[in-house]
Amino acid sequence: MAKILIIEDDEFMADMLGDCLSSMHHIVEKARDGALGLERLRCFNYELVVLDWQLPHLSGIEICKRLKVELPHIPVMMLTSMDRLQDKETGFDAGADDYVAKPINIKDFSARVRALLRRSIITREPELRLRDLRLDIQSAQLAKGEKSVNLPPKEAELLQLLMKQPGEYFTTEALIENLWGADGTRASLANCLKRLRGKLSQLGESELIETSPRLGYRLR
Amino acid sequence: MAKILLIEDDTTLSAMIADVLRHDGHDIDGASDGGLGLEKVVSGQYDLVILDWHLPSMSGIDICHEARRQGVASRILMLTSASGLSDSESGLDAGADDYLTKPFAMLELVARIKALLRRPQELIPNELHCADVVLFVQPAEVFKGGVKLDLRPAEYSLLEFLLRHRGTVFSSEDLLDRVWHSDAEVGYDAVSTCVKRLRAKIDTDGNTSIIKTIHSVGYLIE
Repeated sequence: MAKILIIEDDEFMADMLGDCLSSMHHIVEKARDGALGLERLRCFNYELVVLDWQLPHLSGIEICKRLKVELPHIPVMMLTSMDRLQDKETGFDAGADDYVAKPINIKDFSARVRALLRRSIITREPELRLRDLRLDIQSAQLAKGEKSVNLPPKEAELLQLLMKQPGEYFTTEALIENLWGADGTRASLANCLKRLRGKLSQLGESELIETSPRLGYRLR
Repeated sequence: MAKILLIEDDTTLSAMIADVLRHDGHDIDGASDGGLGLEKVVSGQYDLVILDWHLPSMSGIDICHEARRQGVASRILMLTSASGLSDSESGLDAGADDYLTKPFAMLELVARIKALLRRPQELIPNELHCADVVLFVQPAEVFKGGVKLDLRPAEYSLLEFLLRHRGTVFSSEDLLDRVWHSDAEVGYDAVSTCVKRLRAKIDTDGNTSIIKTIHSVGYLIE
């Protein structure tokens, strides 16, 4: 059983592959264009992506490249009517794990899916620890002893950054750059810090983040 | 780079493949006979095995079956001259990771090998055990003490997921996210109900449950 996303604009093809995967006891979800597909990939957890090469809005190759940077553990099966050698190379170079040419032989397709899923292991990122504080990177849950709080994404990112180098100061500019890139402002950081401190105080750690007017912020 | 075993009785082809892969920086070991090939495969020291279908003394597919049966996790790429798709299917279902039909372009072989080496090293076994419960991934069936259980799809999915990630605790949120449809309008109680139903089917009366509850954190199978 795996949760699988099919990104394919040809409805007939998507239904055929979807029916095949459902009959193999998988949970199948579909997206009809590249942009929607990428959005679903970012929001939900999938164990396999079946990705058409030619898609409206964002090509399969482009999605594949982005996926391999953002979510490198998800295997990608590329579908294509482009069966020339250089296309296959392009597909594999973009990070595709398998490459299946249309017209698709459904038995070959399902055997290839089984082969890919035999190696699908969810690698949970390790948690970060500081004394008795534990931050689960994936779930953004911060725990101390029996108590725990869930952090919103930015607050989790900020704490993660600080926890990776406890005791080290991070300047205001460095934190803004890291968390928001060019769009960040001092106000966004100040707000984020305020909310994070609020969460920390629920665990009795209101003094954890230390502020130095000159040096920036660090964990005690 | 990677340690690759090439089992191929056609010495011309084998020399050609070895040259190309050595040029890419791989460490190549060879065997031209099936039986000898199997011995090397089960030593388990290879990142990848390129396996010809037709070999003297033992066929590629038998080697593949036997290697997987003995728990070898090396990635396996099968080569064959038969273009029948039933071959590709049975090769993959015998435990091969990929399949290439002869004649093939060296470039495609190189590209597929590169992709295969990116796949995780770990292999999920087809049989997952816990206490007297055995779950088969393919075909999807669950047995308790030798008796086949009648599980609903969600119960099967949940059990398979927890068995595949033994030792890891998953919150109800994690489980909803990974084992239920993303657009399903269900809450955490769907998870607890499913766990309850599953426990009733897989646990033995009087024993502690196979699925442990970690208070206010989640569920796991140890």
